[in-house]
Amino acid sequence: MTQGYYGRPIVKPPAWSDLIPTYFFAGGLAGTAATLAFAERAAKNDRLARTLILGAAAGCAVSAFCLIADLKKPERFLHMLRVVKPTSPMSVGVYIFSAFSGSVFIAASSEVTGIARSAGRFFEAIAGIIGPIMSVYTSVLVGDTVMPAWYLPRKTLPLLFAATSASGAGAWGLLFAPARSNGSARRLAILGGTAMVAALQALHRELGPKQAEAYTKGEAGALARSARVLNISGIVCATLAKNSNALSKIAGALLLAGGLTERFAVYRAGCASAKDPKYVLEAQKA
Amino acid sequence: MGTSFGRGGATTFQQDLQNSDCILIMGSNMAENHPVGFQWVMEARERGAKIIHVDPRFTRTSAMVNLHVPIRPGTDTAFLGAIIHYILEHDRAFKEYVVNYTNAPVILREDFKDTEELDGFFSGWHEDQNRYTFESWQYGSMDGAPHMDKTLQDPRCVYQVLKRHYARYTPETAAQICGIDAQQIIEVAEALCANSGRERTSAISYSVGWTQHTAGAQTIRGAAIIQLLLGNIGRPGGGILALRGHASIQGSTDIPTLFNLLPGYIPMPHALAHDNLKDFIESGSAMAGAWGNLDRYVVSLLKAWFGEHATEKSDFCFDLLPRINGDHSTYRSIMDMLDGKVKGFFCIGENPAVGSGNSGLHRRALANLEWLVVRDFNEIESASFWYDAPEIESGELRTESIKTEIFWMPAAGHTEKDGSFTNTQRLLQWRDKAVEPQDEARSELWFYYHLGKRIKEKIAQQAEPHADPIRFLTWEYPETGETREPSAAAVLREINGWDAQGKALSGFGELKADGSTACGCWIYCGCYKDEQNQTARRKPGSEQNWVAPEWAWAWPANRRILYNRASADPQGKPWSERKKYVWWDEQKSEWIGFDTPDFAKNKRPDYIPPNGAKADDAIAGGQPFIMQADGLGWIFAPTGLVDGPLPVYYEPHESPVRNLLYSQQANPCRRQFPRPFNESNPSPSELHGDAFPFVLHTYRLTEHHTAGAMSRSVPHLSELQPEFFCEVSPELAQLRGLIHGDWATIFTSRAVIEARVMVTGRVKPMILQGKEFHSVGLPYHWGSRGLVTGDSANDLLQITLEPNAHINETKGLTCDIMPGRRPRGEAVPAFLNDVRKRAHMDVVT
Amino acid sequence: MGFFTDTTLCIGCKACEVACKEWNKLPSDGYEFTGESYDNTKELNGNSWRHVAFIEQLGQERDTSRWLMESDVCKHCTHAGCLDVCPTGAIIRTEFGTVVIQDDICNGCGYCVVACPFGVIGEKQEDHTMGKCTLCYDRLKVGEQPACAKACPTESIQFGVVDELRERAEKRLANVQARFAGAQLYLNDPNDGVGGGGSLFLLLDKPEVYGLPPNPIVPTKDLPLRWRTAGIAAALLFGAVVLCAAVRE
Ligand SMILES: Nc1nc2c(c(=O)[nH]1)N[C@H]1C(S)=C(S)[C@@H](COP(=O)(O)OP(=O)(O)OC[C@H]3O[C@@H](n4cnc5c(=O)[nH]c(N)nc54)[C@H](O)[C@@H]3O)O[C@H]1N2
Ligand SMILES: Nc1nc2c(c(=O)[nH]1)N[C@H]1C(S)=C(S)[C@@H](COP(=O)(O)OP(=O)(O)OC[C@H]3O[C@@H](n4cnc5c(=O)[nH]c(N)nc54)[C@H](O)[C@@H]3O)O[C@H]1N2
Ligand code: SF4
Ligand code: SF4
Ligand code: SF4
Ligand code: SF4
Ligand code: SF4
Ligand SMILES: [Mo]
Repeated sequence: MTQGYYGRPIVKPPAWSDLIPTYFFAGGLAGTAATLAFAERAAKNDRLARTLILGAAAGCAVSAFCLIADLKKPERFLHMLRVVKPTSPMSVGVYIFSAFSGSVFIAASSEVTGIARSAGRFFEAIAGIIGPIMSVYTSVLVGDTVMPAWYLPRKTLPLLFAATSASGAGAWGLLFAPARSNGSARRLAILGGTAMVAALQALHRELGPKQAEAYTKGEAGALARSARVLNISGIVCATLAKNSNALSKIAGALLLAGGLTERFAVYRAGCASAKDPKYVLEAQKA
Repeated sequence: MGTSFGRGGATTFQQDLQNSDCILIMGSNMAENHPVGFQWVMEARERGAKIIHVDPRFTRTSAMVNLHVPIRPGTDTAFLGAIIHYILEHDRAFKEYVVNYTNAPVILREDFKDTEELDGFFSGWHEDQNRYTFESWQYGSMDGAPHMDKTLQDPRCVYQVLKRHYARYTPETAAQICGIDAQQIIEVAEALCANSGRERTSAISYSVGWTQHTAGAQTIRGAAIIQLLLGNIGRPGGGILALRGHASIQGSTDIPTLFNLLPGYIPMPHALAHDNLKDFIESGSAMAGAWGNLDRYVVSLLKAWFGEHATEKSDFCFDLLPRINGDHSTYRSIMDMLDGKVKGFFCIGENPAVGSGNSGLHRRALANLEWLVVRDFNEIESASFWYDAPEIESGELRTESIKTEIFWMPAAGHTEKDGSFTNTQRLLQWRDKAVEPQDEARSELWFYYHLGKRIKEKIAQQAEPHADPIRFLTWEYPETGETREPSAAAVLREINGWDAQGKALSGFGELKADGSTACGCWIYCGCYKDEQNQTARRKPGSEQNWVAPEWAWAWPANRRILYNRASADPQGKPWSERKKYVWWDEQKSEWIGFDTPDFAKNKRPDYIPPNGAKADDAIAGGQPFIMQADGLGWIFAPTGLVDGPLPVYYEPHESPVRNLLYSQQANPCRRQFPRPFNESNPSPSELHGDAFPFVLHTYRLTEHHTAGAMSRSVPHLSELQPEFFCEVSPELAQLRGLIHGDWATIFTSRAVIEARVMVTGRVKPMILQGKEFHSVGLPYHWGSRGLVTGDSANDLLQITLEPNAHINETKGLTCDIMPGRRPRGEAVPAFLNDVRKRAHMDVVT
Repeated sequence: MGFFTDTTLCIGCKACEVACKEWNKLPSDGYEFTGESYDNTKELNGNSWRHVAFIEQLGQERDTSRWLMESDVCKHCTHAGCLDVCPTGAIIRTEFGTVVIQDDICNGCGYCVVACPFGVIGEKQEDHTMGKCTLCYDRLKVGEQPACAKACPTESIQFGVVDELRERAEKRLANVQARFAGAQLYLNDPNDGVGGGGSLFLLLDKPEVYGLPPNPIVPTKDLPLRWRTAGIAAALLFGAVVLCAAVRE
């Protein structure tokens, strides 16, 4: 029996394109990469810090492109800077993103050109501190919707976003820094990857079996399963990659792919939970 | 309605439905097709009235009511017959009303024989001519007043004849015919009875679910009999509401587009019968009642048309009126087109290539013309058939060989012109032009006026007498603006009429037979009273009584409920406080109330006409039906209908079963046109191998308008019902393998079409004489043009007419249905030949 | 100001849909036959701001013969998710208490679409901004009632001051309860998840039968909690990063 009204959605799935999960991935990676860059700088590991701050810049560039492209007209981005709205995670996020990416670009430019080093370092530190917020605020953004798959995992979705960002930043380091200087990136990647797998388990538990179907069935489920394979292989490679450039790169690539896939899985799960009214009905059962 | 009560219009108005205690909606899908008027039904429901809908399908109307009865299409006369049976059997009639206000006590002639005696025929039947003669239906004695038995006991009085006539219409038998439970009929009958009488009133509302049958007029007669027996005519919350169609379809019968009527229901002179005005008046006017003044109406009409030429000496130009010598109705004319007897055709405000039954036959007729004028907003199917008709697709017609020259002219829409509408409740409402017509579009008035002027110019010099009707016609109205639009108000004023001084008349009582008054339509006289356009009055309802007499103007004499003298008892007192409407005020010595009394204002209730009294003076103070010669409501109709003085149940022309009541299967008087492309499916279909086992009926949807040109061209309507579909029950779907949302092919011996399948529990199978039958319902709005297109349901239909109103049977034919899309191109004729073969019919080559 | 939509009076004529489109110059939404009873509009979205739902309830034996019709519209929520999350300020609460999208400010970010618990908002065809019922802001401005309410022949759509409508709805429910099985009010409770609707409904069955959420909650209700958990996650993330950098093998 079809549920609800001819099985039609009760809430509307996002009208967004795939640029938006891509943004979640790139932005999350950038945030944590900046933090690790800041930490490595403090630990005097300039080589890795350099890779990471450039990674953060790349992430910011992709993010900015995705955001603006999804609005179709670039000047529309500016509409968001007319107001500050604490009730809108997107409004808050725009300022987080602006402050973060601004800092990252200054730091990265200084890193590349060597100009204004101390200012560069200063902004690198700012970016490093904002970084984790940049990485997780998108969980609030999607959580603050009526998509059951996003709305319901109140506790675990931020953890999943944090873990995916950590694995992504670590993976970036594995991929682009030489093995001898990528130790912390490798540790972060392993930690993040493992946390991601764990967070997902926790998320399923928080949702309960019926709601978790949004994540386990259909396209979202397929993506999630691929992500899991990619992640676990990535973790294994990373564990074995100590001092191996080649393995490091493979691990990095696997984890990046795993993280991106996981983001799409989460995104599709949200859409699926809107398209089939059973999720809303189940969630709102008296 | 004209026959039963005296005037061919709804006896009441839609707002009055709020006062009903019970409303029977039957043969009308009022919520869907008259949604604005339906608010008053809702109002009544909210006030506690019982609302009943009798309709083959569960519609949006059914969804709103207390009881829905799913009747087989075409069996309403049997259903109503069972109600009459119930009333008589249980002695539930409103006796005081019946005895005084109806012809129930009248004694009939000895030689009158009822269908009881002649197995489905009345006396006067001529087998060889397929028609009745009416002498034996007349009242027994008519010197002065008819002979009556007010105790209703005389075996030859109408009441006793009625009792015998309806004895066989038991609820059980009717249920077998209608495919429902006897209990459902009893429930309806009981509701009507319980809600009638002094304190309560019931109303009946119908529309084309009744009229579009070969027994249409008799079905309405059945309703009239019920309402007279229950005492519901002329009283608030009572009456019979005929719901009309197009915006001014009532107007187009009042000032008719019908071949056999002049304005105001004056019959059209006949070539053989009416040599001069005197003959005409004598044969047409009644001794008593309003028709006693026919001379005044006709002379005033002739004055309005021929002005100074209409003098006593010229017999008021009576000779210039056209004459009829037979049937010149639309369908007859279509046959004549096919036979090459009609050369040219004005197709204005209609779209027969989609909207008329057997539209294929219509398209063939149009293709056989020399010229065709189509005035419409779009290039409708009736103008485009020569290149996109289904017959072109199937190769049966070829564009190159169609010689019809088609003039398509853009018409101005209703917002682009002034004028009045006469709506379903005889209300004339004025509409002001809101915008200028675009480009070349012009109003109808403009078209006919300037066409007339040009013809007059051309003919001016001709001295031959045959030019006189046009030469002498008064044809001058003020013209305004660049387009020289004639003044619609001036036309309305002419319709209202004026006196010798040229002053607007204030009512038809002022009309004279001496040529001193002119009046374009006597029943509309008064609409321009006091030189004011009364139809343009728009005083809000909240500022007047509930009848709202100052909103627009209703004919006759701005009366909203007709025969409203019947809302008071014979002594002139309201039947009850709750149902008071019009009553006699002894102090003022006049009739007063909420509405214009439908009675001579100062005629006392106890007035008895002196011997030799004429016209209105011949109507007694206790006789509310002043249009009838006897002043009575006609339970028995001695004249006026060609197929019988009482309703008889006959099966539809095409039917799946035999008539249970009489051996006569279908209405013997129905007009048939047997010819190629208009063959009838064998009936009852069991005779021919069940070739067409299902009942087919057609109807409207709220979202579209009739033939669809006005709605299929509008995005906001087209999207609401984008595709042609058929409504079938889950049981039929199962039987024939039809899949919801998929396609079905539907066919008769005339045509094959396809539609999307709507399987719905709103349609029920019916049990007829112990066997399960199914119906296929089709909305008829689609055609080949517009934003959304589809096959036309009317291609399937057949032309057989009701004998009185010449209306085609569109509801209650037979068909077959199968899953999948229809054959295309040349496969169509081949397919149909196969079908005909299976039905043992002739094969067209 | 708001609506009380009384479905016991709705005859499914769709005059409200057409009036809305005419007044607001909305395009047609495609010509697709759905087979879903007489509903070919399907949903509320950027091009259709009124949607009449049709539900056929005819039991196997056809003993329960009901055909429910309901004209759906934006609920003009007291706590409106769409308004809360709009990052541009395009969605405002007007002087009439209604929730309106200003299309010249809307940037098409689509956040409101996913923040509405009723799935009301959708993209407008022509300009990639979002659309929904404005409660005829332009008409209210000049003292006219909304086009849909004006067009409704049976007063199924009643327009008025929300508090008065709430009272009217209570009275109406009491009046019809005996006559209509399953009669219930929807969104009349100011303490529900959206603080009550500016449009309330009298339904004849459970809300979900009409495609309405049974227990809608404005998503921003949990926003502080979300920021807190996100803060913790961010702190953990920061800690993890520092840890990874600090640990030297
Ligand atoms: N929206 C809209 N409104 C319209 C129109 C329109 O096209 N669209 N057309 C206008 C016009 S021209 C007219 S004449 C009126 C017509 O108004 P209606 O008479 O209401 O029109 P229909 O839908 O043709 O038929 C009414 C009902 O009759 C049922 N029916 C069919 N056969 C029978 C039968 O034998 N017995 C009974 N009891 N019922 C039967 C059908 O199922 C249908 O529900 O509507 C006017 N109003
Ligand atoms: N199967 C089946 N057939 C039926 C019926 C049915 O119930 N079933 N019902 C019958 C009934 S009751 C009717 S009334 C007919 C209707 O059938 P038609 O009258 O043939 O169909 P309409 O589409 O109403 O045609 C009216 C045309 O007039 C045009 N028009 C509108 N206003 C103006 C104007 O001011 N000037 C001019 N010149 N044109 C104008 C419109 O664009 C439209 O094309 O269908 C009949 N046919
Ligand atoms: S379309 Fe016109 S005539 Fe028909 S219901 Fe609406 S207002 Fe009345
Ligand atoms: S119903 Fe949806 S669109 Fe309307 S005000 Fe509420 S949240 Fe906003
Ligand atoms: S799409 Fe427009 S209205 Fe909706 S949230 Fe974004 S800016 Fe606001
Ligand atoms: S209030 Fe205005 S905008 Fe809203 S649905 Fe009604 S007509 Fe449309
Ligand atoms: S206009 Fe009124 S009656 Fe018609 S569908 Fe809309 S709400 Fe229902
Ligand atoms: Mo009609």
